[in-house]
Amino acid sequence: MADAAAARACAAAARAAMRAQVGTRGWFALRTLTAGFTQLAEVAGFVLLVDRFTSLAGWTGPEVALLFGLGTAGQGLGQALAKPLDAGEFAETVRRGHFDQVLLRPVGPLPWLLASALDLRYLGRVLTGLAVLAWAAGRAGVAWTGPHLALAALSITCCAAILASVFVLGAALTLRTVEGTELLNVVTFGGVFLTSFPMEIYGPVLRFVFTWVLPFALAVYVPALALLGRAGTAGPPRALLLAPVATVALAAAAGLGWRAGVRRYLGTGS
Amino acid sequence: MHSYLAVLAAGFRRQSTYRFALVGGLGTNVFWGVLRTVVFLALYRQRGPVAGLTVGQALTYVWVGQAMFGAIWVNWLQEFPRSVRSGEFAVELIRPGDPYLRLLAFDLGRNLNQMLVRSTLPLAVAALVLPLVLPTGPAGVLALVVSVLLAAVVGFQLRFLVLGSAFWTADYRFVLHLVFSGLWLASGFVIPTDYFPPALRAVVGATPLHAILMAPFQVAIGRSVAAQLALQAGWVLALAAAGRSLLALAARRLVVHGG
Amino acid sequence: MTAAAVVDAEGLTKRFRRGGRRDRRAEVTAVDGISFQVRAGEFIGYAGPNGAGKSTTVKMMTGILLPTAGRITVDGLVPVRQRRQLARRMGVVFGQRTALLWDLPLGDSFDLVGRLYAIPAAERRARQRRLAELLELGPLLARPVRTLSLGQRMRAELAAAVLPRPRLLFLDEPTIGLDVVAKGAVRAFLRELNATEGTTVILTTHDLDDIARLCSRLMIIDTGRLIYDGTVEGLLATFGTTRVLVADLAGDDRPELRRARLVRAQGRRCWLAFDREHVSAPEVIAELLARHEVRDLALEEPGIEDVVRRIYRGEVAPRPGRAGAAGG
Repeated sequence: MADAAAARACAAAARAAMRAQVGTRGWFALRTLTAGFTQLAEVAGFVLLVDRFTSLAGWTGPEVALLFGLGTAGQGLGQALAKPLDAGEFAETVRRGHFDQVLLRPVGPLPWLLASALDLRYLGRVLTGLAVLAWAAGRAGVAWTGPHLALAALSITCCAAILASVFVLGAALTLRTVEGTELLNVVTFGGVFLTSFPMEIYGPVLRFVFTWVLPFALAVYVPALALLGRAGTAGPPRALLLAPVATVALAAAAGLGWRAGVRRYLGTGS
Repeated sequence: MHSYLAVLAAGFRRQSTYRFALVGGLGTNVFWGVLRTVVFLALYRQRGPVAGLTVGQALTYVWVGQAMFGAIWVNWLQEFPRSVRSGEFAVELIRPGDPYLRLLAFDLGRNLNQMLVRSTLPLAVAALVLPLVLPTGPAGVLALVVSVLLAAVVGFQLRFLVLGSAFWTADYRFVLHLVFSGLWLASGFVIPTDYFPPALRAVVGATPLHAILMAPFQVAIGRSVAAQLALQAGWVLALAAAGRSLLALAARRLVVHGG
Repeated sequence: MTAAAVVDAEGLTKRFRRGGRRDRRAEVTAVDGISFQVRAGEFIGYAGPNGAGKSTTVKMMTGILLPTAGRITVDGLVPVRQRRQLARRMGVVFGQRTALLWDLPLGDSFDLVGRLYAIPAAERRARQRRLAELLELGPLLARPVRTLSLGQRMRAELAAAVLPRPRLLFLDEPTIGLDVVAKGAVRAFLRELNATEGTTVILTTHDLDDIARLCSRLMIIDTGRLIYDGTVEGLLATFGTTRVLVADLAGDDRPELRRARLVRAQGRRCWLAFDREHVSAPEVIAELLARHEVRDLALEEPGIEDVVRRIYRGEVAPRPGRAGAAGG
């Protein structure tokens, strides 16, 4: 009963966060749009690049852009949900004592943090990702059937969830030692960047890491293979199932890590 | 003259206090450098030069780019516009001397400090491991150093012009955001402009953006070194004039509106 | 009739390890085995010099810090283990950090507090109206929190903290930085709250005036130990109205005045204590100037460090009996 109230409170906090952000509709729309520009510039650059090279390990420009589109949309969604736990932001939250404030409320600290700091600007990246996805799919001849749409949605959701889970683990680590965790961002954003290229170009070590440790490849590369109708280094049907499974497993690990982190924080203060 | 050198030294010392950001910056630098190296190596597998660049030159581009990135899109980007909005900056205009040169000197001092480790170290290590194309003789090295310095100056000047919007609007961050990605791509930080379609390449080559990365890159691989340096110097002068005009306009506005 | 203990601490200890795990010797004992009990409805002042262990104790009481040794229960609950349950029953106002939504109208923050503590909407509205009246927040409800002044924000924070009718209220320096009028308003509100709703209040403060006007009992902590736990009257009776005049004399003579007492001398500097109730500062100064040549003068207000010093010097009895009993 208390938890239902807590959940409702978090929902209200999320709504409040959204309201605070929107402010003036016009500015909000513009800010959201520009949030995705960096990604757009990056994709534009790499599409030009791949085109100059005619192909990248057998993948054409638009096909690589498809990977980028999925990854960018997933990253944007993940950031919209979990930005407050991003290494730099969270370190600041803890340092300023705001985390103590969060702990003094009758709700779980994690749902409260995520809800009250929902960052809608990153939806701009989601939009960019979807736009790139649409363009790439058009050029690469991908038909948007029901299963294909579902697959794209699954891919984006899993990518977002993986990113958020890594953020949570990073935040748990930040609770242990507030300094120097900014480097963690390199892992998350670097991971998304790398998996925006076909896995074939990487050696076995990286391929292992991105399949079993940071399963971005499962969330982006594998569904892309299915969408494009290509055979890759892992046969499509079985691997597709791995994506949600791996995502859930990672999320569970993140939850445990977070609890351990909070327990330790309560033991040592700040 | 030596007052500006003093300001430069002050900037240099100031940056020393950010020891920790250095490690983080270094790590990010290396990481992205490695990622892009991997991608380019894959692209060039069993292939000759593309768009006039060999694999060695492309890799050199990656690491020169990493070296320049932190020097152009600096971490202290927001300090200047913030001081403008808070009114602190107004004091600069009544001090003796040239405020533009002072700002430039301070910024350059800070940049020199961070470039010493953050930019040169990864480049040096990469040169040992990868087949980079870098100048070997003293003349070539000197040219590269000069080019990098000129690029840093042009970087400051461009930042000044863009962030100078803070004199007129509180939403300078928005202006920055709007132009950042375009500038980032057009100056060749995503991919070398050599890979751009010829028409686009010609257009961006004619802008000052060319001076911040592409010019030092060309100097590094030894292509038309003198021309590149001259081009950079030309832009430094042109942008200085533009910057001074902006500052004059802003000063007049401050005086009229009270800052 | 004994009232139940709302806070019961015994041998409460907290040790921190500074500087990494290598250096075992760098262990700091922030709180060293303190014991105390707070009964329901008490208004406690909790004071001490900076770094004495005040905020550490409060963190252990509110459940965000695990004690190294000893035990503590708050409202029958073990703070860290039952943190969320406890959170429902207490209100907290911690100085600079805000529990309000910065960019949204104040009313929205109260709405959120209502949801957070599962207060039925009608009840919340009624309560909010009453608090707004008591704290004069009516015209502020529609304004974004960031536009409020410090005094207005502090009143708003108080309202938000007591909106769910907590049994226990923790305050950390609520009057710091406020002007005289605002301080008066906050104190009046707290007095009213404690009197009418029986809320137990634990007030951490440096401000002796706060303590004098609000608290029935005072606990003083210094370097982790509780050095005073007793009535406020007892403490003030000893020196609450004492003021000290610090004079730098031209000569080496020691002043002997009728109106003030020499309590300390160092070289040519003398500390003269007098009771503000019986004699005014100008009178003391006049007498001093009439008898001696003075180079410089300063008037000192007693601060908490002063109180602590006096306790160590034995001028005040550390534990003059339980709160409520005649102390002194």
